Amino acid sequence: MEIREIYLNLKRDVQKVSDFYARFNLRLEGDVDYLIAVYENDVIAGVGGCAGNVIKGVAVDESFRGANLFGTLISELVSRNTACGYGNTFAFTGPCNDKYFLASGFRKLEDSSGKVSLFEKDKKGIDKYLSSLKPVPGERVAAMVVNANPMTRGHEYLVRTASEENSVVHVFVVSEDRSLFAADVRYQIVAQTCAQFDNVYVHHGAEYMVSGMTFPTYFLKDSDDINQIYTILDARIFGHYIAPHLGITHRYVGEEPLDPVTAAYNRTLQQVLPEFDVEVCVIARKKYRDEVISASRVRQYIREGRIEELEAFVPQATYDFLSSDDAAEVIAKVRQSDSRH
Amino acid sequence: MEIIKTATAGSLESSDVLVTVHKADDLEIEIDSTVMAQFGRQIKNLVEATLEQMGVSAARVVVEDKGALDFILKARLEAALFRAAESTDYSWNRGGAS
Amino acid sequence: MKLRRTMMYVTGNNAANVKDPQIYGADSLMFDLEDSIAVANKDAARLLVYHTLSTIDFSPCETVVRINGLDTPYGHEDLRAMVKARPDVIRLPKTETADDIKEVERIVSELESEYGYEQGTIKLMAAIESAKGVLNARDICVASDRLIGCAIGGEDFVTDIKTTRYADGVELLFARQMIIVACRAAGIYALDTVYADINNEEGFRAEVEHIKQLGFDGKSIIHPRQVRIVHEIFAPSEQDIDHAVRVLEGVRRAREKGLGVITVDGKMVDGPIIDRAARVVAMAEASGIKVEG
Repeated sequence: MEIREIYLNLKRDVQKVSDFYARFNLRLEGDVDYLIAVYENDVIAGVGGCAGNVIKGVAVDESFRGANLFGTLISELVSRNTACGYGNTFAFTGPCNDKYFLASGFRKLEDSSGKVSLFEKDKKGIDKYLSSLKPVPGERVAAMVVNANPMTRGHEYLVRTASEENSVVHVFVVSEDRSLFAADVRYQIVAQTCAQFDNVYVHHGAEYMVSGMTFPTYFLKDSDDINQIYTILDARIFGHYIAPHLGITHRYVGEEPLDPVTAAYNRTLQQVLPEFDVEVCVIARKKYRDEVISASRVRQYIREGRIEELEAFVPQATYDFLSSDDAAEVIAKVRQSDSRH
Repeated sequence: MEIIKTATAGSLESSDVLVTVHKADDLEIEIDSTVMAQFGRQIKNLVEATLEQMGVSAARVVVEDKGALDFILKARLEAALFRAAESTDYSWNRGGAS
Repeated sequence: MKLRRTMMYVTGNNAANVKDPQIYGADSLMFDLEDSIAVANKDAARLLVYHTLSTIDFSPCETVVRINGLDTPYGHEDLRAMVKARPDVIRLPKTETADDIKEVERIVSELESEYGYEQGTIKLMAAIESAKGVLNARDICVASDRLIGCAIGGEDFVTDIKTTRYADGVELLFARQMIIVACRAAGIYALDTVYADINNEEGFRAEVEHIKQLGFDGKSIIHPRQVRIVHEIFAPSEQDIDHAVRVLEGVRRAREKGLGVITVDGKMVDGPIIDRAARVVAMAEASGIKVEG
């Protein structure tokens, strides 16, 4: 048994691994930082990879008897992750592989209708995250999860509404660094803007706010609704761990008249969260001159170089950032991209 | 010795032990063993003694034991600690790698 | 008379393997820190072998550690750790010149001093794995009093001379013979290379017969089931044992009478013949055969 890295820039390696995946009706996941394969006598017996500290793309040929292929693969992935400096390793997997991750010392966090399970290597990972979130007593505790890429007056309006309607509000900023605006910048802006409300507390989402951006899909069928599956997972983790810890009973989201993906996201939350005694409050979006203020609209203005005109759309903290030298890189990135995010 | 990052050593194979060391504010030791009832206490003692020998006063040490003998646990723990401290200051002469 | 019919490789970073390899009955155990250990685990392997050797008594097996070369980032630390742990022998890979051995000897000597061990406690072994090494075998074999033997590293050697290993071993013939001759001239042991295909018993037996014929003292082993086969093939015949016992008896009588020349059955008997007789008796006894005298 030998472990070799798949060189993703070499056609021969990519072909070998695609052929391997195809045998199990799986797709080669595009979004991986690296892929490794376990070879038995020069033949690929198993493959697995990582994107950041998330294990993905794991597939093993079970016909190779007597070798602990899965265990070896996962151990190697965790080892490499740790050597990269990650304190924890996560894995999304089809439930048929649950037993392997459990045997490799992972803890199962949640699953999504039997389609996807989320595991973490550090059995106290989520406990440590929760202990960093201080519960604040209040008669009615609410929460919202925002990407805020960048934060707009629309986000601010949602926070203000929640602040007025609840004793305590917890705002989680998604920590995934796949958005145009870096996670720490987004967090700072949200924290600065929310300071005006004395009952609002801002937190990092860390790895426990599942985002569709790193969500692996290679083991799902074409007919599966990927967005719904990861939204259910995200909602279940929120409902199972975060809501009870902070005493959250209400989750605030902005109404989504335009984007079908976000609209579906809201609908799924409304289906899942009541199971955890959390009510979803859908708030109509703030408008500016009859148009909904959205982060994508703000990015459009940035693309068109109309930053001064943004004052009406974004809170002071966002505007200050965009006018600063630090924003030059982000503005350039926005100009070059045309992604939804 | 100061722990500055997360590191692991060993494996979950039979007779071995996987030791993970994380940076922490004080000393936390978590042990999970296939022979917990008989050897849990002994494992904890060995971990504590090794940490003291190596001058580690703050770390979170997670031990996943699959029936490793004492000297194997010591070897894996020391390896994880040196990696977590990014240190190569082995002192073989002092009766231990500390 | 130390027998080295089998030297079994033990992967230095494998807990299940290092804790009780002596149960397989090999004459020597070689704990590997070199080629079987991934770069990322060199440190962990070193610590595991260090603690293993410092804790467990592997007798009657001889303990050998294959360190990384001194030209790698690991070799020097390996020596510091392993001299302290005191295996019987330290094996240096990819030995090309007598100076390679002298350099290791110098460091081992210093370390023995530092650790308060008697000078000469730890022996050395050289692995010859390249064309240059083979040509220098003669000088390598006499480079140090600590050197107890040489091994040939077949896989690396054939790569160096730009061929691959074949079943009949013709490509290794010259190297094997050169090393045997150099070892014999120096009066030290000669050990053959590994046979990688653990499922091919027939092929393995053929190779063992071949290297026994060439004159090797033993073979490097990578799987327990190879041990038994080598010991079987190297076991002396009844005739060999008979003759060996007579030779040793002849020696005993000559010594008793204070004679300068030893004769057995009318023929003069000298060093190499006596050595061989001792070796045959040792192998017979190791195979569980009762030998009188």
